[in-house]
Amino acid sequence: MQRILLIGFGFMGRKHLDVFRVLPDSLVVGIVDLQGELPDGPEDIPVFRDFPGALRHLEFTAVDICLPTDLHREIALQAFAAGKHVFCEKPIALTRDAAAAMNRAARESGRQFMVGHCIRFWPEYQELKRLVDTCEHGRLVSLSLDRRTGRPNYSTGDWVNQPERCLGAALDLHIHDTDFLLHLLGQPEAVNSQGIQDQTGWSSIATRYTYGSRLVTASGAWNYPSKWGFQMRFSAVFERAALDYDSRSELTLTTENESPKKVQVPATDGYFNELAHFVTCLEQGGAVTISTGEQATLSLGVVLTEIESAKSGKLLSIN
Amino acid sequence: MQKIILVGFGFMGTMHAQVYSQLKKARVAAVVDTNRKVAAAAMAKLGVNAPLFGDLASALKAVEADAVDICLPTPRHAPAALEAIAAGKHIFCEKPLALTLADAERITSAAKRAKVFAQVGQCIRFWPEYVAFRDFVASGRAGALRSLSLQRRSGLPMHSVEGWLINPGLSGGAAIDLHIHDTDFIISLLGTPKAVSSSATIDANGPSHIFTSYTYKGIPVVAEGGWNYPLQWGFQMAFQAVFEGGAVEFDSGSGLFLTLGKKPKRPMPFKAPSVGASTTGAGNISSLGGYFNELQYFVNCLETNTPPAIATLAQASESLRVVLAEVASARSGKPVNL
Repeated sequence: MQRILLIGFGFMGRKHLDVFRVLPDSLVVGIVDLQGELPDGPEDIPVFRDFPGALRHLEFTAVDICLPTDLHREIALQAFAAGKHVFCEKPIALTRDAAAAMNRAARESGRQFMVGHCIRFWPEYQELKRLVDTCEHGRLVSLSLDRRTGRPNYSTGDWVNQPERCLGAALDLHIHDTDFLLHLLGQPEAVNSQGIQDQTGWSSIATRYTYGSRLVTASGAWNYPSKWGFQMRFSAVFERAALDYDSRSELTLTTENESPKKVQVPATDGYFNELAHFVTCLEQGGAVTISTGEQATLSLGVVLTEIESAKSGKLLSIN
Repeated sequence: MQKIILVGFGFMGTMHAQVYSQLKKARVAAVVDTNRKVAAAAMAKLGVNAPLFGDLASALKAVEADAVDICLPTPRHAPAALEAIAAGKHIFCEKPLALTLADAERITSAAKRAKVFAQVGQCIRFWPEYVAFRDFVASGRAGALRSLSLQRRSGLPMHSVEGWLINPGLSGGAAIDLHIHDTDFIISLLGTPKAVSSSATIDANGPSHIFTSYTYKGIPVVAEGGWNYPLQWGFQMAFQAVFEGGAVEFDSGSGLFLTLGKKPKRPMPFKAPSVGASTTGAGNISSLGGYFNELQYFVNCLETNTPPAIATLAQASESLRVVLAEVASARSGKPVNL
């Protein structure tokens, strides 16, 4: 049984609590939130104002950090120092240096470090990866991914609209697709981006990635009107098929000789699957292999290079 | 009444014939097609009642006509256009105007010298949803345009006569034949970009799938066009536009939508002509809307003796210049300045 300390009880913390409530072998034993009390929070879980307070009074094996991005580094270092495993929300950090410090602390503590890149665990995206890996319909020829939403208005203290805490949609939203691309195809050779900077940071970015002869693009924007809703989608062309997904419809496969047909995927979501992976790895005493701190650091590096490319208007190579 | 010689009775020629049958001020005076047997059968099926010729010269000699509508494979546009212009006819030429800037220039200067009217079938400039979108941008109702992305995707077009569309030497591939619709529309909206940067899947059918970023000061613009989807995949054209205070999105599968300010998303009204669908069942498009609008506009210009100002030879040549730069960028891997 993994005993989890949930740190941060905003939008994502609440989602994670819902998952842990139904996930076997896990129990949320405490919540840390700056407010110290949660009038609308769960009645059966103690709430602490800070991490040292929780550490003094509770026994737990792992922490789940659902704080604003600029606070990830500090709390992760404290958790590793206390010998806890760490699950940290994405993006790992705002800078390469902060991410490197977190990975170093993980290595030195010998504890597991996973980052919440949930798209790696999203069933429709997992099916795309399966088709790419198996070459069931030939080689992947091209792939475009998009992620669009209204202005985020759900964050505590509106931190996601403060560029110095979040870096805008480019880092907070679009990194989902960048990270998935790294999961699928490894690091790109180069990136070429365009973006929009406004008072909330990089609110829109569109990138072309260089992956040999494959065509790969992704865009992420949250400057749509707040009532617009949310959409994530991709369109993948293989030598002998196309796989299309839109969060507003369904996953569809078209092969050369058949009409488009719906692809059945498990009715789970990435939030459940990622935490299940984390808990299972800890329970079995094994290492986290998907969405590790090191992988998340590479994704952060690519996104930061995309932002540099959008600033300079130049094609920039990765490493 | 404008009397039209329709040259080429393949997919697009049959589309145009269906439109002319619904236009009061135009009629097909003759059809020209090198394959008279196939053309005759198609004409009978559509009820097109006009003399059929195997070459344009014979039609020009035998029939009284005001204009020639060229629906031929792209490399044959220039010879047919020059022949029609030399005979003093106005021309409507299918898009892309040509495969080379030299051919485009030859057509343009000949039309200018002969003082005939000319229009190019860049039908997206007339497509009801795209027109509504362009009007919306001009109205400023949602403030400035912040970003724009456009997509056009389909299976390989197998409906062309003798497969000319899938022969890159004749069609230029998806980049020139398909994606030029969006390049042309972007230019109609924002002018010529400073530069283009493209990547493309290049296969036996030419540049089959192209992705381009266009450089406009302060507005990220990207467009994608590909016809290397599986045959049964269907057709999709779509765009997403974000404004300071709103968003407009279109998808040929779901429609045109507007989200303005704090109001919920709703269908966006647009004016569509009340014309029927194509009855041939070939090609990507079932609605005749954009084709009807462009030919109605052309015929009205002829009727009122006004030169067409939308989808002109100069505009079509500029779109060709930009799309050729996109292909060059995709081949070199470097941005191309315009």
